Amino acid sequence: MKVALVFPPQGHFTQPYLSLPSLSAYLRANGVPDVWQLDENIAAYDHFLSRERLERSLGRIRAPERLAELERLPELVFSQMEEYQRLSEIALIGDEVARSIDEAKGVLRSKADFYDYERYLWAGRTVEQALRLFSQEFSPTRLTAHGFVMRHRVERSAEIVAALSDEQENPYLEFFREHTLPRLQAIDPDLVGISITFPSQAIPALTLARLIKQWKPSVHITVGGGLMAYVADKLARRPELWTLIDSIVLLEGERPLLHLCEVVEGRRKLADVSNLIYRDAQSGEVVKTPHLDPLDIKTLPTPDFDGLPLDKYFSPELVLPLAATRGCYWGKCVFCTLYTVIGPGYRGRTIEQTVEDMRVLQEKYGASSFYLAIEDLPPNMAKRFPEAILEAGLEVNWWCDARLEHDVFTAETCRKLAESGCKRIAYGYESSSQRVLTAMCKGIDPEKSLELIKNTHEAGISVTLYAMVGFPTETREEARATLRTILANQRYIQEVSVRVFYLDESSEIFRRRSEFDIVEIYPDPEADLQVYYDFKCASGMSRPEARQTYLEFTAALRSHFPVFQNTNMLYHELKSHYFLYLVKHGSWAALEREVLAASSTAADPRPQPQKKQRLVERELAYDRGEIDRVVASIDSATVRPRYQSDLFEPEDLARFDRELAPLAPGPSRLVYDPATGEVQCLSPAAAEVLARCDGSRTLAEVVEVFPEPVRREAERCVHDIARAGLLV
Amino acid sequence: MPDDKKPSEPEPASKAQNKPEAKPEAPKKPPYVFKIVPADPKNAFDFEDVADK
Repeated sequence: MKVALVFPPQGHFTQPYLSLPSLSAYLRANGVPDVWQLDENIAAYDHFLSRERLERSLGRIRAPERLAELERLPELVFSQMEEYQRLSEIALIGDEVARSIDEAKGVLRSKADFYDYERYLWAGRTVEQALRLFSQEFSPTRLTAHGFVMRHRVERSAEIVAALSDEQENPYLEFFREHTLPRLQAIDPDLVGISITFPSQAIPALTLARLIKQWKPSVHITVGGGLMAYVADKLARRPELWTLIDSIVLLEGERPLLHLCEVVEGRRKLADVSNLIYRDAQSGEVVKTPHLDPLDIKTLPTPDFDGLPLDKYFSPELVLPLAATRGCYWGKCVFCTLYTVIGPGYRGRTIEQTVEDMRVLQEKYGASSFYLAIEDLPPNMAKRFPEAILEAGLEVNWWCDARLEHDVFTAETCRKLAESGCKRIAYGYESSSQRVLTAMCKGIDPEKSLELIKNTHEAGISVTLYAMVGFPTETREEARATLRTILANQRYIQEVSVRVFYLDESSEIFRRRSEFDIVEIYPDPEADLQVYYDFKCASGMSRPEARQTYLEFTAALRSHFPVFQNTNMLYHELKSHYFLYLVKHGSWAALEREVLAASSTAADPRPQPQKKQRLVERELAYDRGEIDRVVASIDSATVRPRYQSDLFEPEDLARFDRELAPLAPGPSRLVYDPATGEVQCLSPAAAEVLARCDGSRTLAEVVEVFPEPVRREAERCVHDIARAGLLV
Repeated sequence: MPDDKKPSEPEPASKAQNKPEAKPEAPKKPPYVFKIVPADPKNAFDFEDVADK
């Protein structure tokens, strides 16, 4: 009996996820030793971000030729500006990015290089540029560090089906054929389990299932994971699905998966597997089996990461996820679906078990950093966990989410948490308005929350706040007051993770929507997998206002919080990297002092300013700076919630092409610094200033070719060029 | 739904308000514009993109 468990793209690339290790450990502990874990997410990123693969993309994109075609046009409409933006970057830096991508991955994986902040920034930029380059081959598909979107929407099963064989735009078809399928063929599994946690995994997961079925129709393919709890019933109605897979596991997968092994061995019937949807072979009917109560997680083994490519993640040290609890002990917030869909049943391991899990994982994998993948740190654990870690003599660092429990996170508790290695806590703050918090059923007092936040910060733990904009009935003034409160307490807060409220059909608020002044919802008749509904609320902000207020938040956070400022990619590259920097420097205060503040000091130009030697430059017929501005402004003006997709709808794009003034030619110069990975756009006059900074001229001599009235401005430009890092 | 929220189409009502404002003709530029700006569009990352994964 051979089982292959697959984590399909797209998830994040900095650390392994917990689903496969939890399932593998359970199967191995229950008499199924031959379990293979395939993280095809990190495998795909690793392959796509390789010199060989990027050079293949460059050959297929032919950016210089296509850019030349655009440059011959008398003007550019909006969609051409977007394409110009992408192609001009690739034409400028594509070759260099392909040449250096393997080195960049090496930096992210190397303890020696990763913590060199300048090297880290270069590597992060190079990875992002490489992902844009790769994505262009499959345009408009976009693969980033955080997401994967195609023109085919995952809310419409017909579009998912269309994506599965879309050779032009689905990058995973080729990858799975060339890499994943041969690995699976070597294993020759009897059962394949595919874990789908995020919507971004839906198309890749089913793409893989289709290829596996084409190769070996007899293999039983089951899919499970968090997403299935939301869409499985709807997905199961689509007949094509049953040509791709054999069953869907609902909710927690351990017991159903073990029982599926028995089905494949002929020792059990599908009808006797709990929490399952399958299509009966004889009748062709879709059958849903009864749900059993979830397992007591105290009976589960420690997750088993054996077989995962632990050296492939884009981090210099392992940050292993560990679930001390499942479910949420609070379970009342009306916007949340965890307790309505994933629940019921908050359960925890004992504190001793969790400490033992850490000890085992540290011993086995050398990991001393952990992400507690839990909904919220329970009060008893906040109080007792630190002591248990210290008593066990464990030297570990960890972080987690927590509820703002006023009586729990005292100064003393926070001090002990910090002492036990807690480096970061992310709290569900949501709003500073007591009215809004009460409507949400958060059960917290915003004034007391600030005390708690202060306690956490003063203990040396980095504070992250989750905030929500556009909760039904919330006024713009209430949302702005939240932002003002956050900014006024900025010294105690390191990060704010803000999002627009979405109305999920499984949430309590959806069921009771009239109580929240929601007077209309807008179903999409074609979206048979629709989970979220846009809506109209009779009070508070409209949806466009919510989006605009969200943009106000993000603009303010970018300008006030060091973690979000443009040069800082720690947040951009997500949780593990920022956390590892905290661990390295000991605390936020030290990280800010030793790294962030030091890197932001801009150098003044020398008396005889000199341009860096190894700059890569390209003359453009259009003003790339203006194109960036137009594209960004349309993005912001398009006030529909983005739902993690920044692709424009085709009808919007056509409208922008029609209604926006086209751009006339106007030269500019792109300058790429391979040492930093940064790209600058210079106007012709600024480009001339840069060219004259050859080390032989004084500042006055550099600007003397310009008419006297603009020389002061030209001098300022030299300083700007220095600040942009283009001078030695 | 867990994590990266990717739900429905936007409402028709809000679509009407999504109209971009037509950009006025750019004024004629002065002969010397000393401008240098970062050309990396992804510097301005979207918070929602990175929130949950």
